[in-house]
Amino acid sequence: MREHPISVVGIGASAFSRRSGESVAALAGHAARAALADADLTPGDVGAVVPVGGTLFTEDLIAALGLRHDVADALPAPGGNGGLSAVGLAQTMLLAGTADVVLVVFARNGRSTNRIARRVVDLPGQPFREFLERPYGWVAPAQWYSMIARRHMAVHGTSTDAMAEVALTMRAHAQLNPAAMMHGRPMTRQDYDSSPVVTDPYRLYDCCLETDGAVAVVLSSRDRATDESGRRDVPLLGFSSARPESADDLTNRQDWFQIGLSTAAPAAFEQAGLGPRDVDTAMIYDCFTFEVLHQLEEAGFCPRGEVEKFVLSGALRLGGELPINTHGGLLSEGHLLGLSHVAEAVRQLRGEAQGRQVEDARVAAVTGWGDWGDGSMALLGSGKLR
Amino acid sequence: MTTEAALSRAQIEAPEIAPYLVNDDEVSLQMPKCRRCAHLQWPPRPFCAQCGGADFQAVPIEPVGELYSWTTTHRAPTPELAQLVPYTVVVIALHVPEPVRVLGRLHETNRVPDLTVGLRMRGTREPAEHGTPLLTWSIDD
Repeated sequence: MREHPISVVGIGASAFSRRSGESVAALAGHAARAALADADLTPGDVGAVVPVGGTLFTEDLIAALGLRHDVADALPAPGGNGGLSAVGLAQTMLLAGTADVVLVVFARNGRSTNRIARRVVDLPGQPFREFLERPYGWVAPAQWYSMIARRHMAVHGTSTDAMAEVALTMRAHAQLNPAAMMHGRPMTRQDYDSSPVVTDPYRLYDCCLETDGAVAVVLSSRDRATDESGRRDVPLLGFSSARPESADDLTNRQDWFQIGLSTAAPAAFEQAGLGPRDVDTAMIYDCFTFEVLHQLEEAGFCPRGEVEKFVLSGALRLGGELPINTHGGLLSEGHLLGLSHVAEAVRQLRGEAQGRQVEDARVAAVTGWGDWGDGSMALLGSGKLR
Repeated sequence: MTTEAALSRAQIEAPEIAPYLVNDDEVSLQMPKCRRCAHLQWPPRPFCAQCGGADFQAVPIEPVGELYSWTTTHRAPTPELAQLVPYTVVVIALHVPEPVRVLGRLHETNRVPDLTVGLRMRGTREPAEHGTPLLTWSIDD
């Protein structure tokens, strides 16, 4: 067996907007067709699909693309880890031989119709949500995670300077990405400081965007090393996904900082035979600014409690020690449930990131973060590592 | 929703939790204790996390603990919360003697700038006009 038998072979996206004026199925169709064309494949090659986002179904993809009637499928868990854990499901189906080409598609009208802040009914642990939390007005992800952020500030002395640095870095990177919703709209520290408090310590600019749009990623186990069409394939070096202790309840999780990624990251690094220091660029699931800080620590990019020093050194910016979210992330490119993070990692490793290219990027890490702290890490490599 | 309707809905949708949403006599906080291994479990679940047992008894808990974390919400996340903002949600760490944490609301007589992690807090269950009666917490002087 080849050392890295699975590769990301195609990426595609729709436009990202506040109001697409298109159906979810149409958005998915645009992104999927673009990704298959990018992979030099056709809908007839697709043996399995993973629809992501909660409002997109396999039936929509069969209709939109003319897929085979016997196409296999798998559905990821709800929430923000769904985008990256879908890559894990694709890996599982490819390794099992269920298919040799898997199409992963996220599509949602996350701004104009089913606004993200109001989708709490999709979550696990409904009795807790409904009878122990909602009566107190604790219903939105911003409120859950601001609680963890406050605790981190109290225990480790983390300040809002570190959170601001994440927001400003994402916005600066979005200025280099014409597809980003915030392209052409730079942000200053003063803009950040004067943005309204949503739920403290989170201000508006600590919170990600809400977006109408779609992203598709094609993975394959075909050996295309000697094909012209496989020249840009990006091998999957490692993948792992996990949940924290007390997976459906934050209040009584013994260690509030221990998340799914705390388990998944070391497992992914071990599979790849790599460590955090080997990573040239990282795409960190940035639903809110503090979650980036939290995941940088738990993924092992810096020791727990030291993330403020790490990010204030400029590490996250292009040219820094660990440039992250070079597309602008959920905070400034758009909320595409992190599948956009996979697409950006692929661009970097192919050397196709244009004005925001990380020099000689050979290893990229991608993280996922879902409600209540489930998490994933994928490690991708440049074709040279194949 | 009337308090009666809210509690009857809880009995159907969350039977493990429903008994703990109201005061029993003068006791404002009770928690389920496993009859097999004596583990005190919160939030209430169908099975004991420690031994898998499914038989619990309600034990009274003194509503005194430390402020573990909090957030003050200024922008209402849903339309029904618009009339309430700003409000502060707290997590309180109890030592009874096992560490257990409960979610609650900061009583409106407290000042948010006075809050620090580790403060001693005392809770009480407010009589409800609608919905389930809520636990509110104040700085314990």
